[in-house]
Amino acid sequence: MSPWIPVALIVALLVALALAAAPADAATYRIDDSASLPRESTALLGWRSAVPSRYGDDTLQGTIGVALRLDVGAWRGNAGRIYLVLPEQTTAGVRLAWRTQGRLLPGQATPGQRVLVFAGSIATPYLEDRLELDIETGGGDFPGTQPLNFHFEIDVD
Amino acid sequence: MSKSLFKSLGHVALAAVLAAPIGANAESSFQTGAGALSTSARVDFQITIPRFLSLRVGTAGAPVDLVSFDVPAANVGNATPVAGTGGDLGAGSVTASVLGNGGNVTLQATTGGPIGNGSAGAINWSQITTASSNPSLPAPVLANGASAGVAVAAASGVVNQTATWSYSYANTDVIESGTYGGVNTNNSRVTYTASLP
Amino acid sequence: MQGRMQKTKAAAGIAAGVILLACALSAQAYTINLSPRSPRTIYLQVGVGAFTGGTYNQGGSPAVNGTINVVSVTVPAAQVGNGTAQAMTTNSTASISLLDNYAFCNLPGQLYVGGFYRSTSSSAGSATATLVASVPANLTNAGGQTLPFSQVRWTSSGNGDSGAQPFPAGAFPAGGTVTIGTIRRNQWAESCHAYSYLNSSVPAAGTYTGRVTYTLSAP
Repeated sequence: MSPWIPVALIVALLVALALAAAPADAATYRIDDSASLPRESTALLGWRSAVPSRYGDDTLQGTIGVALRLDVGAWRGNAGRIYLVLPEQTTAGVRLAWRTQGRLLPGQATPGQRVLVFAGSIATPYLEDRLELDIETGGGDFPGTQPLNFHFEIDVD
Repeated sequence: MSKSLFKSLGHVALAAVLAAPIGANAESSFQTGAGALSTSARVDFQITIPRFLSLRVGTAGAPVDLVSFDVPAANVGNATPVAGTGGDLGAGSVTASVLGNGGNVTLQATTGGPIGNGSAGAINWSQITTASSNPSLPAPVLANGASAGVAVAAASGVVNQTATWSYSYANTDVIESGTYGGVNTNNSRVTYTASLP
Repeated sequence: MQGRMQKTKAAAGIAAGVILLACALSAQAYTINLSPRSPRTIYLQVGVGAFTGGTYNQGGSPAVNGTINVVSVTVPAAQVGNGTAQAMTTNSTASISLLDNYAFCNLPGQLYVGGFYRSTSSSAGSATATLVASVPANLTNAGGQTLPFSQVRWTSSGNGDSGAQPFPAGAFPAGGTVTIGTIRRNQWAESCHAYSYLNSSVPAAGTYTGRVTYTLSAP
């Protein structure tokens, strides 16, 4: 077999992937946030109130910072809306709120919600901001470490 | 361009921070930790019981009972005891009770002297005998003046005894006819006293 | 050669499309692990208690107070052993709830009994913390005479409360333990206990004393 065939195969793969990532029409795409830091994170949650009330107060809360880096190069030059998506979680009753340094919009979400964090023209290959995530959840039945998953999507016009 | 568009972030779970237990026994106290927890608080209880003593002979309250003896003429001085009449229980008997919490009680009976008739006649108090229905509450032996003391034993520091005291006239002497004693006259009254050390 | 290249290109394009589809289906989210930091905590206060930094509502924290309060009564001489219950009083100054600074108990007739239980655990047996009193058989005077602890009982209430008390009315046993009540997980519970001496018998004169230990436990 010609040595050029495997090379051609690789080139074809790369071209195909590039074409697939480029928006052709209005659509929703998942955004790559894998460049965000920290790459590994654990939020330690403490009681919102060290002492409970007479009627039961079991809210756990914690804060964690994320240096967010969204790879939006594929939509550069386009207008779009970016959303933080908080899917249904294994942890019941979780509430997420975030503060930013201004590049993205602050907001809050409960599981199942999709909240707008950016609207406008994508002018740079990466969208970066510092998110301070305030997390609350019910602590009355919290058996050990639980994951909290969220991601970002873009609606491109 | 990464070979993979979506790359998950790895994660490391950290153990929960645990605090060593502190403060286990006081009047407010707390304990923290991961396992079983226990903390205590203490309260002292104090009950003060004052010392008291009560004595009853006859009717409770103010009235002083009268016990009378009517000797038949044919029996005067024949040594046949004559039963009394009167008293709160009748038939020359009275209720006697002692209640106290200060240990053993001493009972004593005091009279003013022989029972008189208003002239020269007199009957010694030794002629009036007292029988008790309760050996734990013996009656003092009546005498002209103060009787000997009688001990009423306490149990666990408490005396709580009741008896029926029944009076008789011994009738061993031939006495001049007349009415001896009366209602608080002619040395007719016996005063019983209960005391604690 | 050219035909073979064209077939190769077509195959590569199809393969790339398949790979792309596979990548889209395997996309994963940003994950944060949530881990409870706070350990389990129990707090018990019988009589005077202590919080540092103010009450709970003021941001205070539980503390240790070593003052042992006294609940006492002197029976009038004329009533000793007459069966009329004698109300007892306490030298505790705790009328205010350390939860919210509310005037919860009335002094000197009521002793504050309260606490809280914090836990994230849902393991079996940890739904409540239990308050138990350990009681000696008797109170004792200097002469060694005794008065059974079963002569002491209490009612339970709290200013502003309605419904059942977490630490309801009861009586001490003549020795042993008695359950005073329970605290649910992540709850503050409190009651005011008013004690009385039954006075159903005549004891020897003297001052009788005894100590009760209240223990709050979470398995």
